[in-house]
Amino acid sequence: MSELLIEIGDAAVLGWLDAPMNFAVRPDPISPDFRPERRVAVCLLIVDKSRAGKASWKAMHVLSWALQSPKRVQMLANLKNGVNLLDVPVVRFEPALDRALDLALGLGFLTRDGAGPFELTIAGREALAEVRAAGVLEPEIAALAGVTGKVSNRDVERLLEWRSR
Amino acid sequence: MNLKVRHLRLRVQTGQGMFGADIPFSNGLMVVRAENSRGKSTAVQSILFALGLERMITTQPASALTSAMRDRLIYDPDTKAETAVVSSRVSVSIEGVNGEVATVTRWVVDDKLGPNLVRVQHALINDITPQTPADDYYVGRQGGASRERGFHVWLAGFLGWSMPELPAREGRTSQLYMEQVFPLLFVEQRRGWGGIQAQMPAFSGVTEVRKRAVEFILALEVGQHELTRQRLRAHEAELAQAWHLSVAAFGQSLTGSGLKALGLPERLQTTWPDENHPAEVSVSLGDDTWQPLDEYVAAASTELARLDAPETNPRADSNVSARIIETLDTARQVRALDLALREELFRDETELRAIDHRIASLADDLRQHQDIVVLQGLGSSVTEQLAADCPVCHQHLPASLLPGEVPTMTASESVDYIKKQIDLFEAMRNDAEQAASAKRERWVVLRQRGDALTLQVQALRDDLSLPTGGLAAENAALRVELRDRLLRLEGVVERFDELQVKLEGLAAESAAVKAAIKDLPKDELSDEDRKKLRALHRSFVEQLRAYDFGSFSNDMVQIGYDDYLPRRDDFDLQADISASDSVRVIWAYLLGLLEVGEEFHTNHPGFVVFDEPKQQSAKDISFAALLKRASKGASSRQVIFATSEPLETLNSMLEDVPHTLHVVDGYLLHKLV
Repeated sequence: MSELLIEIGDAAVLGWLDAPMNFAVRPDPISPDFRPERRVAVCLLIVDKSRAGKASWKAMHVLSWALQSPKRVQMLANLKNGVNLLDVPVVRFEPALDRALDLALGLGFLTRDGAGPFELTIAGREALAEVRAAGVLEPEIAALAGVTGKVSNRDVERLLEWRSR
Repeated sequence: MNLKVRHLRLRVQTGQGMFGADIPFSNGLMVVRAENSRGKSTAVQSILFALGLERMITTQPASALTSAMRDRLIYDPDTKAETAVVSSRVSVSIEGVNGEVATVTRWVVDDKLGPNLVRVQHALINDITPQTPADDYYVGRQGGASRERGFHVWLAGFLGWSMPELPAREGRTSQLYMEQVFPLLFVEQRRGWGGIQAQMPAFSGVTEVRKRAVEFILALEVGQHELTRQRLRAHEAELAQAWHLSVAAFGQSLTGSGLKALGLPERLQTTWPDENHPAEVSVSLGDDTWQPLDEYVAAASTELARLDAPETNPRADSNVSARIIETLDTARQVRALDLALREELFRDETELRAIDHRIASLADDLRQHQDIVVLQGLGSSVTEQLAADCPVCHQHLPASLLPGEVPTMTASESVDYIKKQIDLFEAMRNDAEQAASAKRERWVVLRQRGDALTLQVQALRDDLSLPTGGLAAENAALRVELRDRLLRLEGVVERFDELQVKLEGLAAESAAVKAAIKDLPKDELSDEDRKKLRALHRSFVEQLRAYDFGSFSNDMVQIGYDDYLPRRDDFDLQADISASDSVRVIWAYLLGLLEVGEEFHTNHPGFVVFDEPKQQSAKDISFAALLKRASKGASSRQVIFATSEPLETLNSMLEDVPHTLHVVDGYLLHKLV
């Protein structure tokens, strides 16, 4: 017992140690992909880029996935340009995007008829114009601009179904 | 400094034929009367548009003018039938410094000529013939205020202005733009009556731009100090650049020579050499020890001198075979060190790549979070709603898209957090880079030593076969290698000494510049400046008295010496006064600036435009007193007042007031025959 740094008799120290411990929950840093402001804004950009201003649920996931790295954007651009896909894209379907879409629907920026495609509402268009004017999301806007024309459902299917070809 | 508008001409080509308006302007008080929705705004905005100043009133040049000029025009006043605008343009004849005249034309809508083009012809509009030469300039694009073909460069010359370069944020400099000066000369109805300089666009990042604009208009000398400070800062930046280049070049010249410089800061210093941390060059000894270059050179010189004196060579009778074994052994050790070092280097470089990768993704995260902060600050429909509660169930909308209630940092907290991480990783990268480059130098030395040892072994083999015995060949090889190394290192010592002298010079100069910046009077007004500000105060208070300023006693009003704005007991005067008193204050201040310009040498062009405020803020003002004051003073002034006051009231107001009145009957734009 003599190896103990604190003498058992040292009541003051023991009393001090006996205090209850408190742990305060500190806010966590989260990935920007989980921030509703950003995700909703990106959703609006994607719907705007889609053919006829309508994007299916699958298309939302594919495009949102593609925007996450320059390599995937390149893949998307190649797809439109008819260049064969050499790499193996595995599209990830994220729950966070579904929540962002629900939020965008709830806020009245997007509408959806049943399980049909998403469309921009008037409020959505206004919000989108504001986002574009604010000079934010530059890489995302540039990436979408790099894909020629609008993205159709067929393009999305091709990306998802490349294995079966 | 002079600017007068001589003539305004609008032309609109429509499917129903050509429409247009012509308003001649004269000096003194010039009143233009038109109905509010019948072209008053069009007339006022057209002047701004023709002069390329639309950014004062809108961020979107497309909406700088009323729709009659750019979209649809009412061609039948009775039925209010509209027709589409095919092409339209605004021409303004202006008079500049020394009575020079010019007509500037800018197209609002046209198939061929974009709204960025401004055509300048050096004649009054009614004197223009097809033979009058025309020069084209551009506005609203980058360089519009700085390049030779920029319209505002031309306009500045025409007005006799030289626009100052001012310090802007992040160490840049930026010009004072026309759009930042004109809010002191031009009050447009939509935004102009919100306060003094309410139409100030803030696009150049110039710090305290409002203050700088007043300094410019009044040509205050205190602004000159700012310019001097500016020049000194630029000189300091040049010194810093020269310092950085010298140090970087020296460091570069050392790579691959087994040397390392220590204590050479890349940033400009004011004292050099630094007594506490003297700079030095070290030589790697191959293992993990380093020796100061001076010591190393001295030791090598002694060694060379010893080898050069064969008589005293103590190893002359050594056993050659033993030397070979000894040397081979050393060579083996060196190779082992070499191998270990190469592995370490590989590890370091892998780590560096990992850190780089980490920094790149942190930078991306940072950018995305900064975007989010901007989105939140937009006050936009996106973010306002995201920040609010759910309109239906009044629950808090989530701060994140993660399931469940996770306490989340706010976006700006995240920005700070990520910035700190980036700082940390950059410091790590710096350290790792330093370590790796030191190892690379050591590796160079090890390879050189390996090569030297190989040569030495060969020489020793020669010694074995020599009939004389002894170590003559080895000695020769050692001497050649040593002399070669010494020569290189002495060159480095020389360059290092030169660098020290150069840095000493730069440091002395930088200290002098810093002292000069410190010695500059900070916002020190000259006597002439004070006279001008006193004159402005006098004129301002006199006017308030004449205009029945009601919010409080005029005696309490001062013109602040720090921002040149009217204040009362050190409070911003514009903060809590009635709307109509605010109109009086703006009128009195802008007219006051003009009156100071008539008494002193300033940059004021003797020109002010007031577009009458909307009904609610002007309802209890009698403009009679304001107009009376505007009509006085020098005959060269031009005060333009656009109003929609009923003609009868206007005429009674203008009784006994010298003026020119232009009445627009019905719609401003009428069919031309």
